Amino acid sequence: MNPSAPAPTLLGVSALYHDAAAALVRGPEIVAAAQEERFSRKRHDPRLPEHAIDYCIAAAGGPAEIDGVAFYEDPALALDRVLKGVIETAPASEQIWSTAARLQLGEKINVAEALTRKLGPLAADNVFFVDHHLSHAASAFYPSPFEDAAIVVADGMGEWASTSIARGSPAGIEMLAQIHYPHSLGLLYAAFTYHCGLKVNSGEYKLMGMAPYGEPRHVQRILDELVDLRDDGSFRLNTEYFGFLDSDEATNAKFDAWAGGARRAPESPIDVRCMDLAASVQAVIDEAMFRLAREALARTGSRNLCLAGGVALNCVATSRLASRLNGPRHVWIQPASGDAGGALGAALHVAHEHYRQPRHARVGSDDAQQGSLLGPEFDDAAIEAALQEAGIVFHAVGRGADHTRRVAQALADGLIVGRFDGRMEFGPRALGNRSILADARRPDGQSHINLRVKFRESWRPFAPVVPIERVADYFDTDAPSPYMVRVAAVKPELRREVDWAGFRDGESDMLKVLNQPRSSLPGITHVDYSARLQTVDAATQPGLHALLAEFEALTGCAVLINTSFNVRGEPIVCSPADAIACFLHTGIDVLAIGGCIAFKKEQSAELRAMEGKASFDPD
Amino acid sequence: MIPIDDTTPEALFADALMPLQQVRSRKDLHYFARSADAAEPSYWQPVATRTGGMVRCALGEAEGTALLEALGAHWDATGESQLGSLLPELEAMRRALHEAAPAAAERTSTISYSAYPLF
Repeated sequence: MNPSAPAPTLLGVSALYHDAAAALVRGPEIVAAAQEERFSRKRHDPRLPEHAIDYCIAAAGGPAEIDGVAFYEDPALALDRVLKGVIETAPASEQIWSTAARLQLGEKINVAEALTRKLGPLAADNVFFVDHHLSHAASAFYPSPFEDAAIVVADGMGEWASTSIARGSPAGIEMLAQIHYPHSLGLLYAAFTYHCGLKVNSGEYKLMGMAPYGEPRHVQRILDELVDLRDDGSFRLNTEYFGFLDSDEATNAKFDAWAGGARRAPESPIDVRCMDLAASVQAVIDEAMFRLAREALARTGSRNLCLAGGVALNCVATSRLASRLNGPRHVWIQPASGDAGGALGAALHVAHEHYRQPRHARVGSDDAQQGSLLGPEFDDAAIEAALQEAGIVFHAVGRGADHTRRVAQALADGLIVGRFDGRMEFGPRALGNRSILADARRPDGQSHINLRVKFRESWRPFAPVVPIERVADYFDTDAPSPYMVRVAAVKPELRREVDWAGFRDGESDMLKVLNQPRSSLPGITHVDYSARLQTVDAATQPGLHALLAEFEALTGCAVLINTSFNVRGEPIVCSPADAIACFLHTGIDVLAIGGCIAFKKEQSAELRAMEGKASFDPD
Repeated sequence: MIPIDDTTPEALFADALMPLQQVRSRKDLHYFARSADAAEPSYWQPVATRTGGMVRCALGEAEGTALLEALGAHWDATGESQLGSLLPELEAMRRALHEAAPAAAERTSTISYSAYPLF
């Protein structure tokens, strides 16, 4: 690296499969990142992320400022896998080939032309293709606080790889070994997700939430018949049980027979059979991820572990592996571990590998993810204009202590608050800036929010948010969890016994179990007393930290429910207009947006009549 | 081999991919294993990459035609040059599909995400 050369500005893009995104890095530092779905309002939008790219170009100062563009995959090698997969499974694959050819040859192989359309001549001469799993590995290692690390990537698949282990060091990232398609932990979990009536690529977290209701009584059958999991973390699926090789179904009749029944119809009641399947495959994924981590740490000799890929979003598995690893280990998980994070990783890898940029400035002490608050923000002028245009009655109180006091009082009064503040989160979790907040102590908090805001009955409790200095008062950990990628148990003294009588004997009503107060924080406590934890520190999120402190001063409780600011089937809100629409169409009582506060009860009868009128797709 | 002017995926499947599959099947050749093998001490595999992990291209080298040529070079380098016979048809199909493809903003994906081999 020439120390006098300006730091390169690079655009990273992931697209054309699932959850397209764009990211901007300058030198080793992350400037911006956002998923396309937030702008297009199409959930998990896979299309070329035109709006997210525009956002990143604006953050760069214009197209001429961008030195290069990095795509998160090698389209040629992806086509290689598609062709070989189709040949291998012909003639059954004839139908999927017709669709695959149009995707691969009509769009993906031509992606460079589309990527460079909006950029200047400099970027057009610097198009980079970064292998899919290397992009994921880079997204986990380069922003991490570690000088060196073992890296595990696990997802559905990339070009060929479904699982990779790698070494991150001051010299860069060295890929060490892989498991290739069709053998994949992501595809295994997706098959169970599909069989249990949930959507592949979005319902996996629901299956994880279903698992605590079941008993893992099929673990050995899975290991004997569906996946051969070796002690060194390597594995191979028995593909006879899966439909994904040559059809557009994740499973097949043989899987159904193995699972003891046909696929559960989406939206139908969930029975113990599905709960037990969920618990069983969760236990298998727990064990597989632990063995992968152990192998990666052994091969690299590092005491640090970085995780990425869609399977790394399974916070139950990653939390369990962290607790099982011997000796002091440090684990960092990319908050946008799915394909969206590949955009960030591709750009970071080019910055380090091609432009020889140093690591970020906080290595050794903190990560470079900036709380994953990397998306657009809006000033109060824009917010007030949007409120006025919508005819909202609001209080412009500024972003200071008065705002905090009013919102905390509303929460203490049992109201549901939509909080819109600062930069939008990058990744699947709302971390406070595009969040719905509520009192976690409310006995009916779970059903209250689900029915009034989310328009669903859910077997999953909400996530808690707590100041880092108070986390050990409520949970069995004192470790930071700023990205909601870990679970922790509610402290025993706060728990209440759950009555499971009759549950497995035919009744199996999950909501009856869930609606029992399982702790003094029922809104965030799962039926196994776990919680998907978010901790907040004053430096990264001063506004949210102050709100939690004020809520504690009013109530004696420092924990709030934090759930994403959206309704079922929609992406998390991005703009003030999105937030206002969600406020009006749902039972959110208070909209705390920038320096403004709006109360539902103060709105006109016409606006209040909009509540509950939104239509939505099943998620 | 299919004529270049028949650029449909269906034609390529019938006239090129199926015959390749039949040849490979007769020789018991497979691109990947489909089940466990007790004789394998481990299932770890070498890193699959065409580029060494990352490649930089000028736009002309990154466009679809160039990427297909690069894939052909990869097949030659990995001893799979029989796949190279597909390249003219793949390029013709790429041109036809690319011209017919709707703009990204207009496309509404209806593809099942369960169909992993498509991507």
